[in-house]
Amino acid sequence: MDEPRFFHLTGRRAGATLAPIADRGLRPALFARFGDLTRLRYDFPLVLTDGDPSVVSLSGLFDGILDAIASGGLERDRARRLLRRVEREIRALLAGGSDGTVDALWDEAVARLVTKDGEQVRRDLLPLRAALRIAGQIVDCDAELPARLVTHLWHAVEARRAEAMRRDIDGLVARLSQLVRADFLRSEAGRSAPALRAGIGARHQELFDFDAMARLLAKPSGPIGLPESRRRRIASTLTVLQAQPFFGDRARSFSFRRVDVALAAFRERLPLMADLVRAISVAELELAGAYVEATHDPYFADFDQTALAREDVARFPSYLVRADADDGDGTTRALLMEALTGRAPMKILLETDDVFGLGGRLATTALGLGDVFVLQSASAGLYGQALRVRAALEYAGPALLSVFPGVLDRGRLPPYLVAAAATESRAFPTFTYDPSAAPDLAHRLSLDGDPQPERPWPVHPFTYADDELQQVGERLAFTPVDFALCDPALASSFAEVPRAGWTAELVPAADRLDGAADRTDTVPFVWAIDAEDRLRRLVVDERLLRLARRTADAWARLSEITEPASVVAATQVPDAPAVPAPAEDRPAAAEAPASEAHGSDDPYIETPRCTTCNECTTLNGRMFAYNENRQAYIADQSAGTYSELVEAAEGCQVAIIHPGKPRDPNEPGLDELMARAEPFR
Amino acid sequence: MIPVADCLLRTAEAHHDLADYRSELVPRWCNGCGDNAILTAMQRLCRDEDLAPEKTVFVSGIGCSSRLPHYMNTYGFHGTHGRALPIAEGVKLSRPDLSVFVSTGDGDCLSIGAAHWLHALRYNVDLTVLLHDNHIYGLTKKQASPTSPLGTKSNTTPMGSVLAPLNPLTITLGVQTASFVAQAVDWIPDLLYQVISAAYRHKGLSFVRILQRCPEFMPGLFDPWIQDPKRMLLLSHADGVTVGPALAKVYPNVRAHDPSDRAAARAIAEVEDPLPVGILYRDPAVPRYEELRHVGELRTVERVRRGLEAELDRFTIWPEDAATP
Repeated sequence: MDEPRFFHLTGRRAGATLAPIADRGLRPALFARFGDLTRLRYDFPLVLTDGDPSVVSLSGLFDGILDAIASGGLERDRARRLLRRVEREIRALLAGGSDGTVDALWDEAVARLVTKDGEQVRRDLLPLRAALRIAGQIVDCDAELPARLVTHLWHAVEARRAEAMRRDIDGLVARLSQLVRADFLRSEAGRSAPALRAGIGARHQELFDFDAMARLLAKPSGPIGLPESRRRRIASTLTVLQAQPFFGDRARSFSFRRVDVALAAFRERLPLMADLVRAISVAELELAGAYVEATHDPYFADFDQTALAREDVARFPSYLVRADADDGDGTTRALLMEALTGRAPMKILLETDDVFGLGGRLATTALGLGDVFVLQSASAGLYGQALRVRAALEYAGPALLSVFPGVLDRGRLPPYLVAAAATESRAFPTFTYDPSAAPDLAHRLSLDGDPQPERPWPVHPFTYADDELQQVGERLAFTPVDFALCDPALASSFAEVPRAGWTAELVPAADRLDGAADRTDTVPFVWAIDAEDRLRRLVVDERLLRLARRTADAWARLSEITEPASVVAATQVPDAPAVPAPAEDRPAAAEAPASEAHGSDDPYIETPRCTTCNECTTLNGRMFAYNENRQAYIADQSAGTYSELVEAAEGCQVAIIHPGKPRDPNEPGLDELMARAEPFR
Repeated sequence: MIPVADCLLRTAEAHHDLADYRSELVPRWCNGCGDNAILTAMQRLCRDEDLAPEKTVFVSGIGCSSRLPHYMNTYGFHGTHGRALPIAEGVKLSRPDLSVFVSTGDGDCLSIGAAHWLHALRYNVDLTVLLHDNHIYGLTKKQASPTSPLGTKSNTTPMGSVLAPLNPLTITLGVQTASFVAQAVDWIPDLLYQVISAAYRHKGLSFVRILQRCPEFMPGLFDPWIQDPKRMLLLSHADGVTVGPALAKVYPNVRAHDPSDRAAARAIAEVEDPLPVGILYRDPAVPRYEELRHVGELRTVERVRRGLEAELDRFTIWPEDAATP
């Protein structure tokens, strides 16, 4: 057996032909275009702002400056070049470990440019600097990015939630206090001379005789004072509302590093939550004057944490937990199920480096829980998913945010590149599952953010120069095996085949994964490049190929779930505007015309068409009357004459009164009346 | 705010009947006047939405239309001529918890109150505005109004009016921030009710023009449309007002119209025959003034006092011989 085949089957090198790859800095061949990220424009770094949107990309921010100050022509081109240079310097600063706000890093970047090109650059940049209107911290795609970004968005969401609740609670406190105040003013003490004096103010007190006023007010009209039970209830409600520890300055912390600690905090606070919900409910009832002691006292006497509905809990702050899926003893993974299936609004940011292991599968496992908002994304895609991250944080129930930060091999490769490679290869696909988005699974799950979703894995053009320096082009698939090359823990699954060994039995790993190449006669390989961008062929062992197949299967299952939706979407024809045909299943806007329910001999009114104009009811208020909608009907035909029926029909401007035939054949002038009634039959 | 309270409130609140919204005053409108139908539609709405009478306000200006608050057993404000809208805006801004309706007429709103009309549309405060449009000043015994048809003979135009009438719908739709525009007629009460109901539920200023008969001073004006239902054009859409089979049987001329289509709404607004009725335009995304100006702090007595004192302190002049405070 030749050495490549032996390595592929066993994972061991049998001779000296194959070379190990550990610590040689080999990268996937498609990384060749991304040698220096500081010279490229892409989503990162990001600016975390206090405004809306909460996060913007630095490139987008600079493009906004350009649009704001330069409309076109040479001036715009010059401004664009200057801004690009600042942007590049900021990227270089961040890559070198700098940190700070937009303002600070701008100044630092300009200082570096001044060092290179002189003071004129600073002067040229002054108008651009003045147009920089957004402040905030700049964050790059590094190990801390997921936590910083998610925490920032969580604070924004919670601040808005807290503001709304605080406003509501303050409003209730203010209005309840007015009740208490009004009660005092009507009390004996409130009507006393000292209280009246205190109510006027110091300057004009000498103009009033407060004792006389107090005597005048000795007997106020109406009942005096609130019942004692109501006063006590309002006082205790006010105490709870004013001391609540969830919103405002006294709010407790809701951010945790351990799932068990967060769960314990939630359980401990449940009684306080029940107290607040009860207080708000009582306050609203009191303010609406709708508190009925016989009904509500027993209900609220038994009101405790078990009575809290999910909607109640959703009004309170959510619990943000930053957890590590790869902790040594698996405690986090064990607690995860409890946290996600309980009623606590847990927002769990789960970071994992173990893309091929358990950590990488937790999000897809959580899909089965049904009402958990699940978002999986590598950190490189988080900016693109920012709105969905926000949706997860706003979601009324628990949410799991599973993120691959992309920090492997101690950061030898830029985390952005590694994280993007995880998404690109389907090893860690981006998906969101929003239980509130639709009633069916297919529409709840979205694969937005995954490149070329119609393929098992993306395919890209790849060009290189051969031995004769001639350009060769081919198309390379980027599979989980290619991604594995970024992970030093999997380096032993690769071995380099020297140029002399590039035989026909070596086939691209993608061909083996999708079954295009025969398993018995071939050995899978991937293209790699070294530090000088020279191409290498690396054979792959069967163990890694199995891992790759498993992730490919997981992707296929995700695609199967969403496929029905996309098929439906693709084949749907937009609805043409059409007149809604009157059909049996449409809600009727009006009752059926009364004529269908009457014989032609009986007088009737098309009541639903009555315009309440009072013509008929003025003519004969006993024969014609209004129903509960103030629309006329014939209440008593015998209460009037046929003549009045005909007259009412003639007077009705919308012609909805139908006199029918006369009941009394002896009524005078019947022939003429029947002739007049004929148009209304 | 919290669902449990909603639930309990429902158990405690009284259910209202239509009679609960009728005041003790008997309407003094003429027999056959379209205002009666508008009043009834409003009372039905209040009943069906279970609006608490003490939380409901009707504001009006001057004219036949503006008598409506007297006949509602709710709070009311019979304002000055043309000023119903700014009064209503003030009520709503001070008491956002109230449901505020405006009854105004073609003279009140489109003539002396025209400036307020345009700016109310611009502010988009959450009000339901009913424009009772009978094409005439009726209360003052027949003078031409801004919507009187060309040639209308009245006390102010004895030789016939020479100015073309205003079209309130096209003007309203011309204001970029108009968020709800509809037209109804008093003689199709079911549609009138549906339109008003949709207007009430719209968050923002909903402008409903109601073509209304004045049998005393403009007799027969709308007879061509009343007597020939085919000349009515009913706008129907799932996002607007749906026309049921019974109504479609009487008024067969039904057209699908998406209320989010502003261009189509403008085109429809210009049509006078057949007469379009239904929701012409609706955009719930237009920002409301109360949202834009909201400062996030309750206007409590303490806050107002604090602000006043701070303002007055700016002008306090201490006597020279007074001790420094």
